[in-house]
Amino acid sequence: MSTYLLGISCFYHDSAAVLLRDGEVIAAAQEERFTRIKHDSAFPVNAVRFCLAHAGIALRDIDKVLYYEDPHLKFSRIVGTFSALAPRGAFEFCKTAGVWLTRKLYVRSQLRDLFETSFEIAAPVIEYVEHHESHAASAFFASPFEEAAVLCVDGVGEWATTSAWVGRGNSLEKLWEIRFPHSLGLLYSAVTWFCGFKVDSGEYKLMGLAPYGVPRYAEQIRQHLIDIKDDGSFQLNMRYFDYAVGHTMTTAKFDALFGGPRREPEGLLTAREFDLAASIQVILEEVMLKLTSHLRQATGMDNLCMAGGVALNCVANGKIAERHVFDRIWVQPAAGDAGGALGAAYTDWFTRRGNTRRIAGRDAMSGSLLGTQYDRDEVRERLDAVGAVYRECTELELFPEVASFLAEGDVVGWFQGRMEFGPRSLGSRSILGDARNVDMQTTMNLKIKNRESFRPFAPAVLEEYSKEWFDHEAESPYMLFVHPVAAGRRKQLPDRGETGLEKLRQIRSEVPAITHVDYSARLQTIGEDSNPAFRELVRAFHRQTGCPVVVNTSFNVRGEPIVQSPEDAYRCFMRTAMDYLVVGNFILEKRAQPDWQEACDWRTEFALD
Amino acid sequence: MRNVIMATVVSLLVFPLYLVLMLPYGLIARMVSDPLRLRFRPKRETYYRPARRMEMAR
Repeated sequence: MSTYLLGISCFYHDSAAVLLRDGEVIAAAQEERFTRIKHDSAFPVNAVRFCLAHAGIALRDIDKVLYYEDPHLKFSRIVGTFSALAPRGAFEFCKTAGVWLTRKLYVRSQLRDLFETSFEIAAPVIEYVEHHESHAASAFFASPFEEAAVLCVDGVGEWATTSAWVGRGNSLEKLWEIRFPHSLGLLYSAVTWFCGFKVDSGEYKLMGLAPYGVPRYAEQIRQHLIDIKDDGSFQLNMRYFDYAVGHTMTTAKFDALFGGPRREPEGLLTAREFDLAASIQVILEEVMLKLTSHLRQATGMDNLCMAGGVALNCVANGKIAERHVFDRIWVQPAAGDAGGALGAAYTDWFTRRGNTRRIAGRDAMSGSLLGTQYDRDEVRERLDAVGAVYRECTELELFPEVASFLAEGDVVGWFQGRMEFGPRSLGSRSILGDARNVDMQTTMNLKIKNRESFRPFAPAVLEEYSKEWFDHEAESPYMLFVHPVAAGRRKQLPDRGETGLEKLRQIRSEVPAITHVDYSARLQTIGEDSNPAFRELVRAFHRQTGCPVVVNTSFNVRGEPIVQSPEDAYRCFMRTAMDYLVVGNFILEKRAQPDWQEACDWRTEFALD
Repeated sequence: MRNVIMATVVSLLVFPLYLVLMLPYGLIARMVSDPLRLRFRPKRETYYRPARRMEMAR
């Protein structure tokens, strides 16, 4: 009889559920995809229901539920921080303590109640796993390595903000940690907030903004905000940050250092924001390179695994890969808190129960395609229910036809197979376009994604051709590494001294839609054992055009979670300027659809991220 | 609603405890040691906290 373990992350952000069967991950999903609330923190009842249904089991078949952090340790951090900073934040502490002592401290009993209310049977045994142990386990046990150094860097969990581990077989040993309030993730989030973006969601925008600026604040940051040792350990100057006990991320001293108050959200982007983004990116890369170099030296390991929100900084990941700090690097595709649910379950299976770990294939993530899927009849039924006009074609017809849409400059919503687990769309719930098209970035940003014009798009490239188009060595199936476009594919531009967004509308390569202003691209390589339908489509596009690269962006609009169901996909398709929607073997043409009417403006439905 | 009332009542009860216990403890701890390592650029070779010492402290 199989053993089922359910990993859960919730009550902070990015709620998720993951199901392990005898140590193998068979289903995983984020709650936001079902509730349509971005970064939803609620108990992941829909994700749990999906996991159970996928495995064909009931809640009573679950051996144990593992929660991705320890609320008691987290509370000790809150008490420790407020007492160390007393009398600052006295009233804030009393308010926080009230909520913690009446509710947040009792996660186990809350979960038990929620399971019992939702499933109407007694809840399984519930155990806690420390936050960074969950991250470390999600990175190492899912990796293709028998042994590896493991680095976890995030905002904060309980106390740790950065931790290093050594993984061997079925064990993980912690080496050291850096504790709150000294946090690389929170430093990056503080600058994100100061630049007018949201904490815990706008960090990737700041990363995308960095190439538009020059790092003229880097020295100021080194001098005043962070002390970085040669071994990569660091300390923040808390006079500049308010997040430890306050309501905001930064203090008035921070404003004074960078010439005035923070940019208002949605306000005008100025040279200061571009340059701050460039500067903090330089600092982050410096720390990450020193951390990883020290880790290699200290452990002697050839392989590195990474997780935690900062591991989603694919520019820094690309730098670590380019410098060959480790021979091989594997980053957990759900590196944020959603992936903590996976790590919590893995910790129980391998570390606590001592089960043997067998490594097979590329890694244990199945290309991160672990979510919901819909068969032909379900798709047809759901499309009929929303009044969609469609035609069905065979697989032989599908790929060349959709490839021809792309080649003609049309934008295609692509919905196939199992939904991705993690923040990236990898060809199952994607919006696709022709990377050669010079207008594609603007069209996709403004007419389809309804988002800021400076945001870059990512390429998906057939793995066997990737080195002809991009300067990189290892595969990148999860879009977690940024690499330069190959020199031979670039177009030389006269230096006219453009600054900021003036750099945007320039044709920099043969694939301008995915070439960022610094000639970089966040690469997804599509290997032979990757998503077969997506690979087949890009192969068809390559046969027709000679170009093995397409634009691949997440199937959503700004502020919306990635689509989960055919209805979500149809709604998004009809609301935007997408030309075609392809769900399984069904093709929907925009011109053939009935008029789309909504009671109110859909742009107000999702809070801007 | 019940949760909000409970949390407010507990918050009010916590305040005297804060004044009697946490405030003096925090002030003394800050003078004697630097538990959160808030002193910027102390004379220290590394900011890593080794895992073994951490486990023993627990």
